Formats: sequence, structure tokens, C-alpha cells
Amino acid sequence: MAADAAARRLGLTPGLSLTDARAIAPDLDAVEHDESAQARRLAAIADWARRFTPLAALDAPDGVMLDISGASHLFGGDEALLRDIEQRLARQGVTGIGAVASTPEAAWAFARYSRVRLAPDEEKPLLRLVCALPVAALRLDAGTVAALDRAGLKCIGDIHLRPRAPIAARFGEKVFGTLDAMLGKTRSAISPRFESPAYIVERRFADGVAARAQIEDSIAALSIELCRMLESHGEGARRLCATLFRVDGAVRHIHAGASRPLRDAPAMARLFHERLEAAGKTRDEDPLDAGYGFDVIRLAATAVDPLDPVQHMLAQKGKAQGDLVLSDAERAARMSDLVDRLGARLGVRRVMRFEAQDTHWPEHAVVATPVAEGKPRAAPVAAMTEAPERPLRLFENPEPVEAIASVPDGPPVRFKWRRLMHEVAAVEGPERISPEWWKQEASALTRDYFRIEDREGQRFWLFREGLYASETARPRWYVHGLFA
Amino acid sequence: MAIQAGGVFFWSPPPTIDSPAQPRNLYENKTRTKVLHLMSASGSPERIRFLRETLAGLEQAGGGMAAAPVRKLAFGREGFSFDRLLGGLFSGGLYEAAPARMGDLAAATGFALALSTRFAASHDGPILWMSDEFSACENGAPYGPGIAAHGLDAARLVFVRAQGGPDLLWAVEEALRCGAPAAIVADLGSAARHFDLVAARRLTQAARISGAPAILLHPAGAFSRPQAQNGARMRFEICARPSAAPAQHSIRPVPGPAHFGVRLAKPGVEAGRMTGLDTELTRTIIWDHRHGFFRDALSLAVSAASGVGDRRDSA
Repeated sequence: MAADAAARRLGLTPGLSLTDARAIAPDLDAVEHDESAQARRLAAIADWARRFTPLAALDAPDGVMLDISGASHLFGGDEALLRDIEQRLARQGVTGIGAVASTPEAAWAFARYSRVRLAPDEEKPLLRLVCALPVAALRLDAGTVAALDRAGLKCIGDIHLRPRAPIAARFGEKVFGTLDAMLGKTRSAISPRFESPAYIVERRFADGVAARAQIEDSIAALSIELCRMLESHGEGARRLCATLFRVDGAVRHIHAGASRPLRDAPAMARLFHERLEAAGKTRDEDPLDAGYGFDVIRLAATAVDPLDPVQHMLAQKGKAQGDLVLSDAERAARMSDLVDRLGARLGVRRVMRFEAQDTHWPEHAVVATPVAEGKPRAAPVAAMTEAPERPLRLFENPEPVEAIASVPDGPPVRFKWRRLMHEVAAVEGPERISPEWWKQEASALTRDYFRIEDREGQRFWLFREGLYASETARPRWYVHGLFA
Repeated sequence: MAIQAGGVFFWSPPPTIDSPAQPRNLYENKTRTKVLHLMSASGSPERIRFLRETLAGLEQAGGGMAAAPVRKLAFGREGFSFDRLLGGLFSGGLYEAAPARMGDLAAATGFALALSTRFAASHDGPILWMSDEFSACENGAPYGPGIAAHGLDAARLVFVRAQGGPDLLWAVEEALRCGAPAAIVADLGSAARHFDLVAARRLTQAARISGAPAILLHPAGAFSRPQAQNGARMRFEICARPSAAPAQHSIRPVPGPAHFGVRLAKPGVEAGRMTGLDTELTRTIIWDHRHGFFRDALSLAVSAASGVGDRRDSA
């Protein structure tokens, strides 16, 4: 059983059984433990904790580990930072206990098994404090802890003062492994919750900003800083992430992608503008759900590619000359900017190009791939015959028509499509297309395609599904596309 | 708020609550159009000229962007009738096309794509095909092999599917402002009702500054009724025309290259000689997809005799 602050005041302790607890406090509220909800909450807290340092690791099941080296002075030192974190967590309704130590293991142990909040860095005082901790602080499994307990080794000091070899032989090497790590004799790294991006810029606000215009302005200002960082390393951003930390602890990520390495601050700001526009369309009331406002806005380049400085120079020159004549490089740059902007607002999968496939089945002969993904392998080409052999517009689902043919396997004489009767004036066909039996299920039937022109001059791509007599007794007709 | 002024009924929109500098979507703001439209209907020529000049002055002062030089292109090879009648094609403007009837949409699509091919012939940029979600489902989605067979370089084609009218018009404007595309074809579909005079003005300005042309495909019959004069350079009404040619190896006639019946609903403003041009006549032209230009149907007299004016009545 776990206990919250109110329960502790009643004298209940974690680990007590529910019946015992009920004996102490009969009107106890017991809530079933929800593991997944706890994991989600912990992940959210880890996410939130990234406002203090980019290196925040999830320490399941009940901890978040922050690497604050080089970050704590921004918050007025370790003690102030710790107090700040605990206070902010308390405001979110979370009872948090934190400890600062020079190693992750020591911090873990102090937070859980001692009242020490700021462990000293020097070895001797640290050792004294560590020795006072119970053996459970070594993060051992319950069996080992019980075995150590039975052997009379209650606290870490008992282990530390004894010769190592017999203890290691009996209880495993891990006992000393953790101890050494705790004392800083061996190193262990925090595995962060997210890969920490190489380029981060952020802005902090005393009061939360809630207005969209202000948020966009901040992002624009941050993009300038980010671009300066990228430029000094000769790189451009492929993926960007703006993270908004709300005052009450909620975190909002906004992702934007670029189809080429991007180092143009206004272009970056525009991408986020489009993302926000798109978000505003789906959620009418408040796209950002700003609530009381955001107090930290961070912009990170989560994926970067080398960007040739020459290209940047060319773009500059193109702009200086004015917009009258575009060089090829400038045009390509502008086009990819456009693709990114359209993709940011409409969705990447709505800006597509055709890629030819090695198949003759009409629906599969061409696939659409997002332009943002780069160069296509092959664009569709067509043989230049007297009249086009493929329609301009293709229906995703062929539309059934009522057709009358003079002979069962001949071309139609007239057909009715969308309640209009069309008299066939000219026909070319059939073009027989067999299903790819090695790919599709056997149910697909052979299609005989006809290019048909009615008396008005409207041109259709009709097919008859199924070979008469051998595949089906009553072949059905469909319109699959329209010619110009 | 309504003001009665000189016989013209002005209606000014109520002040918007959200920030006036950046309304959520400009294409949803329909109120100003009404005022402009009524003015042009009842205002005297001097007044219209004055308003035009004021507008031009405002735009110069506000944007400060110079117009891109206008490139002149030809519809077809030398001697093609449209080049004589219209003075050719001009970059940096809007072109509007509409099918005469529902069934002519594919023909109008073909005409729009053919125009874009003409623009792309002397320009290296990509060709953008933009459509509304609904139109792609209802009228068929653009088909790569078919577009390639129509004479367009499919490798240069980028197609954009917007989720609604305002988004589509926004995308067209962005593409026009960008300046990189050789041509933009927009299948307006259901977005046509968002395409008011304000939207037309915005697109025209964007096209003028970047020098890119946009071909807007309207829904069927859009030009059958009188329309407000927006800034589009030319307006075509398209219908399909029989292309059947006697086949060499078959007794049946086979479909030939695309034949379009084109009514010049609004001839260009560049050509001074368009005065007296018959805007009711439907002219038949052929799109030569193998070489990428338009040409006249073999005999104008014959096609004219085979029922030009009565096509709409028969529908």
C-alpha cells in the first residue's frame, strides 16, 4: 500500500497492508493502483523536468533523474533549484522528494532512504552519509536485501567495512558495483528520456505568455539565435521542435520538418506559424491551450544536416538582386520552402509527387510520395501515341455503369453513367490487363479496357471486369477514368 | 450598420473581435466584396477610374513590391488563331477555365493542364496541381501516367490536396507568392464559393509580383451566368469536342487527340484588338500532346457548321 501526505499524518506508512491501515483509520479511501496512469504521469513529469535541464531521464517506477551539472547555477544554485522543483511539483499536486548528489546512484539513495537533500561532494563526508544508509539503498532486489539483512548487514557501512571478496561471492558483484558508482569510483551516465538535441535555445518568462502573437514572436526570436548556432557549425536543421512549458506543468511539443537543411530564421518562424494555423483549425477554441500561459519556450533542432555555406551565400545574393530573375539554386530553395510551408499547414502527405511503379495494374502503376521525402526514383512516362492511352483523372474506386454491348466480349454501344446515357461514337480497345496473380489475391478479374468517345466528344476509360465465359457469366462494366 | 448613400447601398461589416491585423482566414471574409461589386455596377467610369488609381496607389505604398516583368508566350505555333485573337499568353496573371457542362470537366482539366504545359515550356520550375479533397474524390484524382501522356513532364508535377476551400486558396496564394513554380493549376471545385473578388484580387496581386501564372478551374457552368469582373486575364469556357478519326486498321473510328470547344468568355486585356471579338462563339482547337502546343481544328468552317451555338441547348 502506498500512502499520500494526509495518510502519513494519520500514522500510515507505505508498505502497510490495507487491513492494518483500515484498523488505524476506518474511514480510509483506498484507490486501486493504476500502473499505466502512473507511468504516464511520470513520463509527463520527466518531460516537464526538461525545463530545468535537457538531460532528464525517466527512472521508473517512481523517479525522474536530472543531470543538473552546468544547469543549476541558472536557477540560483543546487539548493534553490531543488526547492524550486519541489514547490512547482507541489503546485501540480505531486509530492516530490528530491536530493542532489554528485552521482545518480547517491542521489537516488538519498532521496529515498535519508533526509539528506544536498549531499557533499567531498569523498569523506559523502562516505559517512552513505554508510548510514540501509542496504536497500543499493538498489538491490528484495531477495538480496533480505539475505543481507539475515546476515546482519543492515546498513551500507556494514558492507563497506568488511572485506569485499566474501560478500561479493555470496551476494553478487552488484552490491559493490552500485556502491562504487554511488561514491563516484565508477561512472554511470543518465540515459535521457529523449535524445538531447545538439542545438537548443530557450526563453524564460517571469509571467506566462498566453497570446499567440507573443508566442510566435518568441519563436521567431529564438529561430534567429538557433540559426546563428547552426551557422557557426555549418549545419542546417531538418527537423525542428518547439517545446512550450505551461505554468502548471503541461508540456506541448510542436514539430516541424524541412525538406532541405534549413538555416533561414524567417522561414523557420513561418513553418511554426503554419503549424499553429493548422492547429487552430482543428481545435477552434484555443489552438495552444495556453491556460495560464507558458513560462518557458524552447526551440531545438532535433535533426541536422551539413549545410554548405556557399548555398547560403547564393541565396543571399539572389535576394539582393531582387526577385526579377531567379537562379536555379534560388528557385530550388524557394520551392522547398514552399513545400515545407504547405506541408506544415496542410500536412506533409498532402504535398505529393508521382512515382512510377513497375506494374501495369492501373491503380498501382503510380504511387504518390511526399515531396518532402526527397527526389523520386522515377516519374511516370508515357508513350506518345496518336491519342493518350491513359486518362487524366482516375477514380479511386471505379464507378459501375450500365453498358450495352453488341457482343458479350465486344466494346459497348451505349452506357449509362451517373444517370446520363452516352452513345459511343469511337472506340479503341480492348487493352487487356490481367491481375498480378503473384501479388494480389486470386479474386481479381481480368480487365478489358476501352477508350471511348461519346457523340458529344467526352472521353472515358471504361473496362469490363472478367473474361466472358471463362471467368464470369455476366461481366460488369466500370468507368475508371476520364480523358481530356 | 447601413448607410444610404447616393442610391448605392453600402453595408460595412461589423468590426471583427479578433485582431484585425491578422484575421483567422482572409478567404472567409466575404463582406467587403459586396461593396466593391455594387460600386462597379452603378458607379460612373470616372469614379471607377479614380478608385482604380487609389487602389494602385495603396498597393504601391503598402506592398512596395514591383511587378515582375511579363513574359509573352504563344498558345501554338505561328498562325494559330488564338494567338492572333488574344495576342498570346502572358505570365503573371490569373486564367480561369470552366467546363460548359458537368461532363466537360475532364476536357476543362485537359485544357488547364495544356495551358500550364505552355507556360512550363519556357520555364524550368515545377508545375503545381492543387485541388480540394472533395473534387479529387468526386471527379477523379489526377493520374500520373495520364498526365504524362497528355504531354506534361510528370517529374515536374507536384500535387497538393487541400482540405477545404480556404486552405486551397491559401495554398494557391502561397505558391504564387513563392515565384518558383512555372504554373499553378487549381481545381477549385467546392472552393469556388470562397473565391470572391477579394480572393481574386489577392491572387492577382501575388501573380503580378512573382510573375507566375495560375489557371483556376471553376465548376461546371460557372461562366454561363454573368460574373463579376475580377482581375483574371482571360476566361475560357470549355466543352469536349468529337475527335473521332477513321482508324487505319479498324472499321470503327478511334478517339484522337484532345479536341476542345473553347468559348472566350473574357478575352485578354493586353490585346487591343480584341474589341469586337465574339465572346459567344465556341471555337474548336486541338491539343497536340506530342509537341505541346495548340492548333486549330482542320477546318473552322466545318466545326462551326456542325452545331456550335446549340450545344448548350442540347444538354
